[in-house]
Amino acid sequence: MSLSPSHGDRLAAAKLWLISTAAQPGPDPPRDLPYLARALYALVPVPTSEVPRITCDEHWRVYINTDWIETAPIPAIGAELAHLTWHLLHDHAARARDLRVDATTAAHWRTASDAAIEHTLRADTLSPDGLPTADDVGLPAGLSAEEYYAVLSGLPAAIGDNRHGRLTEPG
Amino acid sequence: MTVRSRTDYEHTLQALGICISARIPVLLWGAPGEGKTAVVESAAQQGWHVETLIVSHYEPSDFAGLPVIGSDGSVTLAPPGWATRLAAGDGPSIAFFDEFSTASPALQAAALRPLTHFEVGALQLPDTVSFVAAANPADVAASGWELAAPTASRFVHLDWALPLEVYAECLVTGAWPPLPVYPAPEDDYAAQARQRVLLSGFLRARESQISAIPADAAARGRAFPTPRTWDYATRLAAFAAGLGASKEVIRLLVTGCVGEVTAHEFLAYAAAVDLPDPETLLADPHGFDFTGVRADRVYVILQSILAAVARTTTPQRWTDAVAVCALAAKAVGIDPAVPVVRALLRDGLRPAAAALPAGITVFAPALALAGLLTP
Repeated sequence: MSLSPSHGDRLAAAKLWLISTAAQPGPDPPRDLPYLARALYALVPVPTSEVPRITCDEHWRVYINTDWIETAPIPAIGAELAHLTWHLLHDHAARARDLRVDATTAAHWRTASDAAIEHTLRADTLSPDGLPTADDVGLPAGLSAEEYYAVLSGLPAAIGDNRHGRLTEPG
Repeated sequence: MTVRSRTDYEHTLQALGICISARIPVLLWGAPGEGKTAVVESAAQQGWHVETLIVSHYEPSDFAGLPVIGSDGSVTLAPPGWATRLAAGDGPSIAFFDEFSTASPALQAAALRPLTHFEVGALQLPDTVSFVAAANPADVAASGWELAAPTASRFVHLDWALPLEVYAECLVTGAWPPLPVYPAPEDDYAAQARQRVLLSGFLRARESQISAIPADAAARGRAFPTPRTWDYATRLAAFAAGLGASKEVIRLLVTGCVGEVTAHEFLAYAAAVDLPDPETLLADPHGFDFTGVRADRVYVILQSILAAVARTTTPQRWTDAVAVCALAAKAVGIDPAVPVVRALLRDGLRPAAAALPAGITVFAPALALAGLLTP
Protein backbone atom coordinates (compact mmCIF):
# COMPACT_ATOMS: atom_id res chain seq x y z
CA MET A 1 0.00 0.00 0.00
CA SER A 2 1.32 3.44 -0.76
CA LEU A 3 0.45 6.88 0.51
CA SER A 4 -2.63 8.53 -1.02
CA PRO A 5 -1.91 11.46 -3.36
CA SER A 6 -3.08 14.11 -0.87
CA HIS A 7 -0.98 12.61 1.94
CA GLY A 8 1.92 12.30 -0.49
CA ASP A 9 1.57 16.01 -1.27
CA ARG A 10 1.78 16.89 2.43
CA LEU A 11 4.86 14.72 2.85
CA ALA A 12 6.44 16.32 -0.26
CA ALA A 13 5.64 19.80 1.09
CA ALA A 14 7.31 18.96 4.41
CA LYS A 15 10.45 17.75 2.61
CA LEU A 16 10.56 20.90 0.48
CA TRP A 17 10.08 23.02 3.60
CA LEU A 18 13.19 21.40 5.08
CA ILE A 19 15.47 21.72 2.06
CA SER A 20 14.41 25.08 0.61
CA THR A 21 15.38 28.64 1.38
CA ALA A 22 12.77 31.24 2.25
CA ALA A 23 11.44 33.20 -0.74
CA GLN A 24 10.21 35.92 1.62
CA PRO A 25 10.40 36.37 5.38
CA GLY A 26 7.61 34.62 7.26
CA PRO A 27 6.76 33.22 10.67
CA ASP A 28 8.00 29.65 10.10
CA PRO A 29 10.39 29.91 7.14
CA PRO A 30 11.81 26.90 5.23
CA ARG A 31 14.85 25.51 6.98
CA ASP A 32 17.52 25.69 4.24
CA LEU A 33 18.97 22.19 4.68
CA PRO A 34 19.59 21.34 0.98
CA TYR A 35 22.02 18.53 1.64
CA LEU A 36 19.40 16.57 3.56
CA ALA A 37 17.58 16.17 0.24
CA ARG A 38 19.07 12.85 -0.80
CA ALA A 39 18.32 11.27 2.56
CA LEU A 40 14.78 12.68 2.74
CA TYR A 41 13.91 11.44 -0.74
CA ALA A 42 15.34 8.01 0.05
CA LEU A 43 12.70 7.46 2.74
CA VAL A 44 10.01 4.95 1.79
CA PRO A 45 6.66 6.03 3.25
CA VAL A 46 4.36 3.31 4.61
CA PRO A 47 0.85 4.43 5.64
CA THR A 48 -0.40 2.75 8.80
CA SER A 49 -2.72 3.23 11.73
CA GLU A 50 -0.47 1.32 14.10
CA VAL A 51 1.74 4.25 15.11
CA PRO A 52 0.40 7.37 16.81
CA ARG A 53 2.23 9.79 14.50
CA ILE A 54 5.31 8.80 12.51
CA THR A 55 8.30 6.54 13.05
CA CYS A 56 10.91 4.67 11.02
CA ASP A 57 12.93 1.48 10.93
CA GLU A 58 16.58 1.13 10.03
CA HIS A 59 15.74 0.15 6.44
CA TRP A 60 14.57 3.70 5.78
CA ARG A 61 10.88 2.84 5.85
CA VAL A 62 8.84 5.59 7.46
CA TYR A 63 5.56 4.52 9.07
CA ILE A 64 3.05 7.33 8.92
CA ASN A 65 -0.28 7.55 10.68
CA THR A 66 -2.62 8.78 7.96
CA ASP A 67 -4.90 10.68 10.35
CA TRP A 68 -1.91 12.49 11.79
CA ILE A 69 -0.38 13.55 8.45
CA GLU A 70 -3.77 14.83 7.30
CA THR A 71 -4.01 17.38 10.09
CA ALA A 72 -0.45 18.04 11.32
CA PRO A 73 1.01 21.40 10.20
CA ILE A 74 3.69 21.10 7.51
CA PRO A 75 6.47 22.39 9.83
CA ALA A 76 5.52 19.72 12.39
CA ILE A 77 5.73 17.01 9.73
CA GLY A 78 9.06 18.49 8.60
CA ALA A 79 10.42 18.48 12.15
CA GLU A 80 9.49 14.81 12.59
CA LEU A 81 11.06 13.91 9.24
CA ALA A 82 14.29 15.71 10.17
CA HIS A 83 14.30 13.90 13.51
CA LEU A 84 13.90 10.47 11.90
CA THR A 85 16.39 11.23 9.13
CA TRP A 86 19.07 12.20 11.64
CA HIS A 87 18.54 8.90 13.49
CA LEU A 88 19.21 7.11 10.20
CA LEU A 89 22.15 9.29 9.14
CA HIS A 90 23.75 9.01 12.58
CA ASP A 91 23.56 5.25 12.27
CA HIS A 92 21.82 4.88 15.61
CA ALA A 93 20.57 1.36 14.89
CA ALA A 94 24.04 -0.09 14.23
CA ARG A 95 25.45 1.84 17.18
CA ALA A 96 22.78 0.34 19.43
CA ARG A 97 23.93 -3.14 18.37
CA ASP A 98 27.52 -2.24 19.31
CA LEU A 99 26.25 -1.41 22.80
CA ARG A 100 24.24 -4.64 22.92
CA VAL A 101 21.03 -2.74 23.51
CA ASP A 102 18.23 -5.26 24.01
CA ALA A 103 14.53 -5.22 24.77
CA THR A 104 15.15 -4.32 28.40
CA THR A 105 17.35 -1.32 27.58
CA ALA A 106 15.79 -0.21 24.29
CA ALA A 107 13.84 2.57 25.99
CA HIS A 108 17.09 3.99 27.40
CA TRP A 109 18.69 3.95 23.96
CA ARG A 110 15.67 5.67 22.48
CA THR A 111 15.89 8.46 25.05
CA ALA A 112 19.68 8.68 24.67
CA SER A 113 19.64 8.91 20.87
CA ASP A 114 16.77 11.40 20.95
CA ALA A 115 18.71 13.57 23.41
CA ALA A 116 21.75 13.49 21.11
CA ILE A 117 19.65 14.46 18.08
CA GLU A 118 17.78 17.14 19.98
CA HIS A 119 21.02 19.14 20.05
CA THR A 120 21.30 19.01 16.25
CA LEU A 121 17.61 19.77 15.73
CA ARG A 122 17.58 22.67 18.16
CA ALA A 123 20.22 24.53 16.14
CA ASP A 124 17.71 24.57 13.27
CA THR A 125 14.68 25.15 15.54
CA LEU A 126 13.34 21.78 14.49
CA SER A 127 12.83 20.01 17.82
CA PRO A 128 9.50 18.17 17.78
CA ASP A 129 7.46 18.68 20.93
CA GLY A 130 8.28 16.31 23.76
CA LEU A 131 11.64 15.09 22.48
CA PRO A 132 13.94 14.20 25.42
CA THR A 133 16.87 16.60 25.89
CA ALA A 134 20.33 16.26 27.40
CA ASP A 135 18.94 18.16 30.39
CA ASP A 136 16.49 15.34 31.03
CA VAL A 137 19.42 12.92 31.19
CA GLY A 138 21.35 15.30 33.44
CA LEU A 139 24.35 15.73 31.14
CA PRO A 140 25.57 18.64 29.01
CA ALA A 141 24.21 18.99 25.47
CA GLY A 142 26.32 17.97 22.48
CA LEU A 143 27.56 14.60 23.76
CA SER A 144 27.14 11.27 22.00
CA ALA A 145 24.13 8.99 22.33
CA GLU A 146 26.43 6.37 23.86
CA GLU A 147 27.27 8.70 26.77
CA TYR A 148 23.62 9.49 27.48
CA TYR A 149 22.80 5.81 27.24
CA ALA A 150 25.55 4.87 29.70
CA VAL A 151 24.11 7.21 32.32
CA LEU A 152 20.52 6.11 31.73
CA SER A 153 21.28 2.40 31.90
CA GLY A 154 23.95 2.68 34.64
CA LEU A 155 26.83 1.21 32.62
CA PRO A 156 30.16 1.22 34.50
CA ALA A 157 31.87 3.20 31.74
CA ALA A 158 29.61 6.09 32.63
CA ILE A 159 31.38 6.48 35.98
CA GLY A 160 33.96 9.24 35.81
CA ASP A 161 34.85 11.24 32.75
CA ASN A 162 37.59 9.52 30.81
CA ARG A 163 37.55 12.14 28.07
CA HIS A 164 41.01 13.25 29.13
CA GLY A 165 42.33 9.84 30.05
CA ARG A 166 44.73 7.65 28.11
CA LEU A 167 43.43 5.41 25.44
CA THR A 168 44.46 1.97 24.36
CA GLU A 169 42.90 -0.14 21.68
CA PRO A 170 41.18 -3.42 22.44
CA GLY A 171 43.72 -6.23 22.20
CA MET B 1 7.60 19.19 -11.66
CA THR B 2 3.96 19.38 -12.58
CA VAL B 3 2.91 22.26 -14.81
CA ARG B 4 -0.02 23.82 -12.97
CA SER B 5 -0.10 27.53 -13.82
CA ARG B 6 0.66 29.94 -16.61
CA THR B 7 4.02 30.72 -15.00
CA ASP B 8 4.96 27.02 -14.88
CA TYR B 9 3.93 26.71 -18.52
CA GLU B 10 6.03 29.68 -19.62
CA HIS B 11 9.05 28.36 -17.72
CA THR B 12 8.69 24.93 -19.29
CA LEU B 13 8.26 26.45 -22.73
CA GLN B 14 11.41 28.52 -22.29
CA ALA B 15 13.34 25.51 -20.95
CA LEU B 16 12.27 23.54 -24.02
CA GLY B 17 13.36 26.39 -26.29
CA ILE B 18 16.74 26.54 -24.57
CA CYS B 19 17.35 22.78 -24.99
CA ILE B 20 16.47 23.03 -28.68
CA SER B 21 18.60 26.16 -29.17
CA ALA B 22 21.56 24.60 -27.33
CA ARG B 23 21.09 21.43 -29.45
CA ILE B 24 20.77 19.10 -26.49
CA PRO B 25 18.23 16.27 -26.93
CA VAL B 26 15.09 16.91 -24.92
CA LEU B 27 12.20 14.61 -24.06
CA LEU B 28 8.77 16.00 -23.21
CA TRP B 29 6.68 13.89 -20.86
CA GLY B 30 2.97 14.49 -20.81
CA ALA B 31 -0.47 13.00 -21.14
CA PRO B 32 -1.88 12.60 -24.68
CA GLY B 33 -3.53 15.64 -26.23
CA GLU B 34 -1.70 18.28 -24.20
CA GLY B 35 -0.18 20.01 -27.22
CA LYS B 36 3.35 18.61 -27.12
CA THR B 37 3.46 17.98 -30.85
CA ALA B 38 1.83 21.31 -31.71
CA VAL B 39 4.32 23.32 -29.68
CA VAL B 40 7.36 21.59 -31.17
CA GLU B 41 6.00 21.96 -34.70
CA SER B 42 5.36 25.67 -34.03
CA ALA B 43 9.12 26.19 -34.43
CA ALA B 44 8.38 26.11 -38.17
CA GLN B 45 6.87 29.61 -37.77
CA GLN B 46 10.33 30.84 -36.90
CA GLY B 47 11.94 29.39 -39.96
CA TRP B 48 13.01 26.08 -38.45
CA HIS B 49 12.59 22.92 -40.51
CA VAL B 50 10.75 20.28 -38.45
CA GLU B 51 10.75 16.57 -39.36
CA THR B 52 8.20 14.66 -37.27
CA LEU B 53 8.56 10.90 -36.92
CA ILE B 54 5.89 8.85 -35.18
CA VAL B 55 8.42 6.43 -33.77
CA SER B 56 6.00 3.55 -33.33
CA HIS B 57 5.38 3.51 -37.11
CA TYR B 58 9.07 2.98 -37.80
CA GLU B 59 11.50 0.12 -37.57
CA PRO B 60 15.16 0.10 -36.56
CA SER B 61 16.42 0.45 -40.16
CA ASP B 62 14.65 3.82 -40.38
CA PHE B 63 17.22 5.08 -37.88
CA ALA B 64 20.22 2.92 -38.70
CA GLY B 65 19.80 3.11 -42.49
CA LEU B 66 18.50 0.53 -44.96
CA PRO B 67 21.13 -1.92 -46.26
CA VAL B 68 21.39 -1.65 -50.08
CA ILE B 69 23.76 -3.41 -52.44
CA GLY B 70 25.86 -1.06 -54.51
CA SER B 71 27.00 -1.69 -58.12
CA ASP B 72 30.30 -3.10 -56.82
CA GLY B 73 28.49 -5.57 -54.56
CA SER B 74 29.26 -3.77 -51.29
CA VAL B 75 26.51 -2.95 -48.85
CA THR B 76 25.85 0.60 -47.71
CA LEU B 77 23.26 1.84 -45.26
CA ALA B 78 21.02 4.15 -47.21
CA PRO B 79 19.53 6.98 -45.13
CA PRO B 80 15.73 7.33 -45.00
CA GLY B 81 13.93 10.37 -46.40
CA TRP B 82 13.61 12.27 -43.11
CA ALA B 83 17.36 12.20 -42.66
CA THR B 84 18.20 13.29 -46.21
CA ARG B 85 15.76 16.20 -45.92
CA LEU B 86 17.43 17.28 -42.66
CA ALA B 87 20.87 16.95 -44.21
CA ALA B 88 19.85 18.98 -47.27
CA GLY B 89 18.68 22.00 -45.25
CA ASP B 90 21.17 24.66 -44.25
CA GLY B 91 19.09 26.39 -41.59
CA PRO B 92 18.24 25.22 -38.07
CA SER B 93 16.08 22.12 -37.90
CA ILE B 94 14.39 19.75 -35.48
CA ALA B 95 14.15 15.98 -35.72
CA PHE B 96 11.07 15.29 -33.63
CA PHE B 97 10.56 11.71 -32.39
CA ASP B 98 6.93 11.61 -31.34
CA GLU B 99 5.34 8.85 -29.22
CA PHE B 100 8.83 7.83 -28.12
CA SER B 101 7.74 5.63 -25.21
CA THR B 102 5.68 3.45 -27.57
CA ALA B 103 8.87 2.48 -29.40
CA SER B 104 10.08 -1.02 -28.56
CA PRO B 105 13.42 -1.24 -26.75
CA ALA B 106 15.11 -2.32 -30.03
CA LEU B 107 13.74 0.75 -31.81
CA GLN B 108 14.75 3.05 -28.94
CA ALA B 109 18.26 1.63 -29.13
CA ALA B 110 18.43 2.27 -32.91
CA ALA B 111 17.34 5.88 -32.37
CA LEU B 112 20.28 6.55 -30.06
CA ARG B 113 22.92 6.70 -32.79
CA PRO B 114 21.47 9.77 -34.55
CA LEU B 115 20.90 11.42 -31.17
CA THR B 116 24.48 11.27 -30.00
CA HIS B 117 26.50 11.01 -33.21
CA PHE B 118 24.26 12.80 -35.73
CA GLU B 119 24.59 9.76 -37.99
CA VAL B 120 21.80 8.02 -39.85
CA GLY B 121 23.22 5.07 -41.74
CA ALA B 122 26.03 6.42 -43.88
CA LEU B 123 24.68 9.97 -43.71
CA GLN B 124 26.15 12.60 -41.43
CA LEU B 125 23.55 15.08 -40.20
CA PRO B 126 24.65 18.70 -39.84
CA ASP B 127 25.12 19.98 -36.29
CA THR B 128 22.27 22.43 -36.86
CA VAL B 129 19.83 19.59 -36.11
CA SER B 130 18.18 19.52 -32.68
CA PHE B 131 16.53 16.37 -31.37
CA VAL B 132 13.25 16.48 -29.52
CA ALA B 133 11.18 13.54 -28.37
CA ALA B 134 7.76 13.37 -26.80
CA ALA B 135 6.42 10.55 -24.69
CA ASN B 136 3.41 9.62 -22.63
CA PRO B 137 4.26 8.29 -19.18
CA ALA B 138 4.21 4.47 -19.43
CA ASP B 139 0.94 4.24 -17.50
CA VAL B 140 -1.02 6.23 -20.10
CA ALA B 141 0.91 5.31 -23.26
CA ALA B 142 -0.69 3.08 -25.88
CA SER B 143 1.36 -0.08 -25.27
CA GLY B 144 4.20 1.78 -23.60
CA TRP B 145 7.65 0.75 -22.43
CA GLU B 146 9.71 2.33 -19.67
CA LEU B 147 12.80 3.92 -21.18
CA ALA B 148 16.02 1.98 -20.63
CA ALA B 149 18.64 3.83 -18.59
CA PRO B 150 21.04 4.38 -21.54
CA THR B 151 18.19 5.94 -23.55
CA ALA B 152 16.91 8.05 -20.65
CA SER B 153 20.35 9.45 -19.90
CA ARG B 154 20.65 10.87 -23.43
CA PHE B 155 17.77 13.28 -22.89
CA VAL B 156 16.83 16.25 -20.80
CA HIS B 157 13.45 15.35 -19.28
CA LEU B 158 10.76 18.01 -19.07
CA ASP B 159 7.25 17.49 -17.72
CA TRP B 160 4.61 18.96 -19.97
CA ALA B 161 0.98 19.94 -19.46
CA LEU B 162 -1.41 22.55 -20.76
CA PRO B 163 -2.85 24.33 -17.71
CA LEU B 164 -6.38 25.69 -17.76
CA GLU B 165 -5.23 29.33 -17.61
CA VAL B 166 -3.31 28.99 -20.87
CA TYR B 167 -5.75 26.67 -22.60
CA ALA B 168 -8.82 28.79 -21.79
CA GLU B 169 -7.18 31.98 -23.04
CA CYS B 170 -5.82 30.45 -26.23
CA LEU B 171 -9.17 28.86 -27.02
CA VAL B 172 -10.67 32.32 -27.18
CA THR B 173 -7.84 34.22 -28.82
CA GLY B 174 -6.76 31.40 -31.12
CA ALA B 175 -3.15 32.47 -30.60
CA TRP B 176 -1.01 29.74 -29.06
CA PRO B 177 2.29 30.60 -27.42
CA PRO B 178 5.01 29.78 -29.97
CA LEU B 179 8.20 27.94 -29.10
CA PRO B 180 10.94 30.46 -28.26
CA VAL B 181 14.31 29.80 -29.94
CA TYR B 182 17.51 31.69 -29.23
CA PRO B 183 20.92 32.28 -30.78
CA ALA B 184 23.78 31.20 -28.49
CA PRO B 185 24.55 33.90 -25.89
CA GLU B 186 27.71 35.86 -26.56
CA ASP B 187 29.93 34.70 -23.72
CA ASP B 188 28.53 31.16 -23.70
CA TYR B 189 31.93 29.53 -23.55
CA ALA B 190 33.02 31.52 -20.49
CA ALA B 191 29.67 30.84 -18.82
CA GLN B 192 30.11 27.12 -19.45
CA ALA B 193 33.57 27.26 -17.92
CA ARG B 194 32.09 28.90 -14.79
CA GLN B 195 29.44 26.17 -14.50
CA ARG B 196 32.08 23.46 -14.91
CA VAL B 197 34.18 24.92 -12.11
CA LEU B 198 31.11 24.95 -9.84
CA LEU B 199 30.25 21.38 -10.80
CA SER B 200 33.79 20.21 -10.19
CA GLY B 201 33.75 21.77 -6.71
CA PHE B 202 30.36 20.21 -5.97
CA LEU B 203 31.36 16.73 -7.13
CA ARG B 204 34.59 16.82 -5.15
CA ALA B 205 32.47 17.26 -2.04
CA ARG B 206 29.65 14.95 -3.23
CA GLU B 207 31.50 12.21 -5.05
CA SER B 208 28.54 9.82 -4.98
CA GLN B 209 26.59 12.22 -7.21
CA ILE B 210 28.82 11.85 -10.29
CA SER B 211 26.81 8.86 -11.35
CA ALA B 212 23.80 7.58 -9.45
CA ILE B 213 21.61 5.21 -11.45
CA PRO B 214 18.29 4.70 -9.64
CA ALA B 215 17.36 1.25 -8.40
CA ASP B 216 13.78 1.13 -9.68
CA ALA B 217 12.85 0.79 -13.35
CA ALA B 218 10.52 3.80 -13.51
CA ALA B 219 13.15 6.17 -12.08
CA ARG B 220 15.81 4.77 -14.44
CA GLY B 221 13.62 5.93 -17.34
CA ARG B 222 13.83 9.55 -16.17
CA ALA B 223 16.59 12.01 -15.22
CA PHE B 224 19.47 10.87 -13.03
CA PRO B 225 23.09 12.00 -12.66
CA THR B 226 25.74 10.59 -15.01
CA PRO B 227 28.81 12.34 -16.42
CA ARG B 228 26.86 12.91 -19.66
CA THR B 229 23.78 14.41 -17.99
CA TRP B 230 26.06 16.61 -15.85
CA ASP B 231 27.63 17.84 -19.10
CA TYR B 232 24.14 18.66 -20.42
CA ALA B 233 23.33 20.42 -17.13
CA THR B 234 26.39 22.69 -17.24
CA ARG B 235 25.82 23.60 -20.89
CA LEU B 236 22.13 24.36 -20.35
CA ALA B 237 22.67 26.29 -17.11
CA ALA B 238 25.29 28.41 -18.88
CA PHE B 239 23.05 28.99 -21.91
CA ALA B 240 20.05 29.90 -19.72
CA ALA B 241 22.11 32.21 -17.50
CA GLY B 242 23.47 33.91 -20.63
CA LEU B 243 19.90 34.64 -21.75
CA GLY B 244 19.06 36.04 -18.34
CA ALA B 245 16.53 33.24 -17.80
CA SER B 246 14.94 33.01 -14.36
CA LYS B 247 16.15 30.72 -11.56
CA GLU B 248 13.06 28.57 -12.07
CA VAL B 249 14.00 27.89 -15.69
CA ILE B 250 17.56 26.98 -14.71
CA ARG B 251 16.15 24.69 -12.03
CA LEU B 252 13.86 22.99 -14.58
CA LEU B 253 16.80 22.43 -16.90
CA VAL B 254 19.21 21.08 -14.29
CA THR B 255 16.44 18.94 -12.78
CA GLY B 256 15.66 17.61 -16.26
CA CYS B 257 19.28 16.53 -16.63
CA VAL B 258 20.23 15.03 -13.27
CA GLY B 259 16.96 14.60 -11.36
CA GLU B 260 15.22 16.69 -8.74
CA VAL B 261 17.16 15.75 -5.63
CA THR B 262 20.65 16.05 -7.07
CA ALA B 263 19.69 19.25 -8.90
CA HIS B 264 18.49 20.77 -5.63
CA GLU B 265 21.80 19.98 -3.94
CA PHE B 266 23.87 21.28 -6.85
CA LEU B 267 21.91 24.52 -7.19
CA ALA B 268 22.15 25.11 -3.43
CA TYR B 269 25.90 24.55 -3.67
CA ALA B 270 26.22 26.76 -6.75
CA ALA B 271 24.44 29.60 -4.93
CA ALA B 272 26.52 29.43 -1.75
CA VAL B 273 29.69 27.40 -2.53
CA ASP B 274 29.46 26.20 1.06
CA LEU B 275 31.20 22.82 0.87
CA PRO B 276 34.99 22.68 1.16
CA ASP B 277 37.07 20.35 -1.01
CA PRO B 278 37.84 17.34 1.22
CA GLU B 279 41.43 17.29 -0.07
CA THR B 280 41.94 20.87 1.13
CA LEU B 281 40.48 19.92 4.48
CA LEU B 282 42.71 16.85 4.84
CA ALA B 283 45.78 18.88 3.91
CA ASP B 284 45.00 21.36 6.68
CA PRO B 285 42.42 20.05 9.18
CA HIS B 286 42.54 23.30 11.19
CA GLY B 287 41.98 25.44 8.09
CA PHE B 288 38.18 25.07 8.23
CA ASP B 289 36.03 26.34 11.07
CA PHE B 290 32.97 24.19 11.79
CA THR B 291 31.53 26.75 14.21
CA GLY B 292 27.96 27.57 13.20
CA VAL B 293 28.04 25.27 10.14
CA ARG B 294 24.56 23.84 9.52
CA ALA B 295 23.98 20.20 10.39
CA ASP B 296 23.37 19.05 6.81
CA ARG B 297 26.62 20.67 5.63
CA VAL B 298 28.56 19.04 8.49
CA TYR B 299 27.09 15.70 7.49
CA VAL B 300 28.11 15.89 3.82
CA ILE B 301 31.53 17.40 4.64
CA LEU B 302 32.37 14.50 6.98
CA GLN B 303 31.05 11.98 4.46
CA SER B 304 33.29 13.55 1.79
CA ILE B 305 36.29 13.19 4.12
CA LEU B 306 35.46 9.52 4.63
CA ALA B 307 35.11 9.00 0.86
CA ALA B 308 38.40 10.80 0.18
CA VAL B 309 40.31 8.64 2.69
CA ALA B 310 38.68 5.47 1.38
CA ARG B 311 39.78 6.46 -2.14
CA THR B 312 43.42 7.09 -1.20
CA THR B 313 44.41 5.71 2.18
CA THR B 314 47.67 6.74 3.83
CA PRO B 315 48.44 6.79 7.58
CA GLN B 316 48.69 10.59 7.52
CA ARG B 317 45.36 11.07 5.68
CA TRP B 318 43.66 8.67 8.07
CA THR B 319 44.96 10.54 11.12
CA ASP B 320 43.98 13.88 9.59
CA ALA B 321 40.48 12.57 8.86
CA VAL B 322 39.98 11.64 12.52
CA ALA B 323 41.31 15.08 13.45
CA VAL B 324 38.70 16.76 11.19
CA CYS B 325 35.95 14.71 12.86
CA ALA B 326 37.21 15.79 16.29
CA LEU B 327 37.16 19.45 15.26
CA ALA B 328 33.63 19.09 13.91
CA ALA B 329 32.56 17.34 17.14
CA LYS B 330 33.94 20.17 19.26
CA ALA B 331 32.07 22.77 17.20
CA VAL B 332 28.68 21.15 16.57
CA GLY B 333 28.40 18.25 19.02
CA ILE B 334 29.87 14.78 19.22
CA ASP B 335 26.99 12.64 18.00
CA PRO B 336 26.95 13.86 14.35
CA ALA B 337 30.65 12.96 13.98
CA VAL B 338 30.47 9.51 15.59
CA PRO B 339 29.28 7.60 12.47
CA VAL B 340 32.28 8.71 10.39
CA VAL B 341 34.76 8.02 13.22
CA ARG B 342 33.24 4.55 13.61
CA ALA B 343 33.60 3.94 9.88
CA LEU B 344 37.22 5.12 9.97
CA LEU B 345 38.00 2.75 12.85
CA ARG B 346 36.27 -0.18 11.19
CA ASP B 347 36.00 -1.57 7.70
CA GLY B 348 39.73 -2.30 7.48
CA LEU B 349 40.17 1.34 6.53
CA ARG B 350 42.80 2.19 9.09
CA PRO B 351 46.40 1.68 7.88
CA ALA B 352 48.51 -0.28 10.36
CA ALA B 353 50.90 2.60 10.95
CA ALA B 354 48.26 5.31 11.43
CA ALA B 355 48.44 7.05 14.79
CA LEU B 356 45.38 8.15 16.74
CA PRO B 357 45.40 11.94 16.83
CA ALA B 358 45.17 13.61 20.23
CA GLY B 359 41.74 15.00 19.31
CA ILE B 360 40.18 11.53 19.35
CA THR B 361 39.77 11.74 23.14
CA VAL B 362 36.58 13.71 22.49
CA PHE B 363 35.09 10.46 21.17
CA ALA B 364 36.64 8.28 23.90
CA PRO B 365 33.50 7.59 25.95
CA ALA B 366 31.38 6.78 22.91
CA LEU B 367 34.01 4.57 21.30
CA ALA B 368 34.88 2.84 24.56
CA LEU B 369 31.21 2.04 25.24
CA ALA B 370 30.92 0.63 21.72
CA GLY B 371 33.98 -1.54 22.29
CA LEU B 372 35.97 0.21 19.57
CA LEU B 373 38.54 1.64 22.01
CA THR B 374 39.48 0.70 25.56
CA PRO B 375 39.85 3.52 28.07
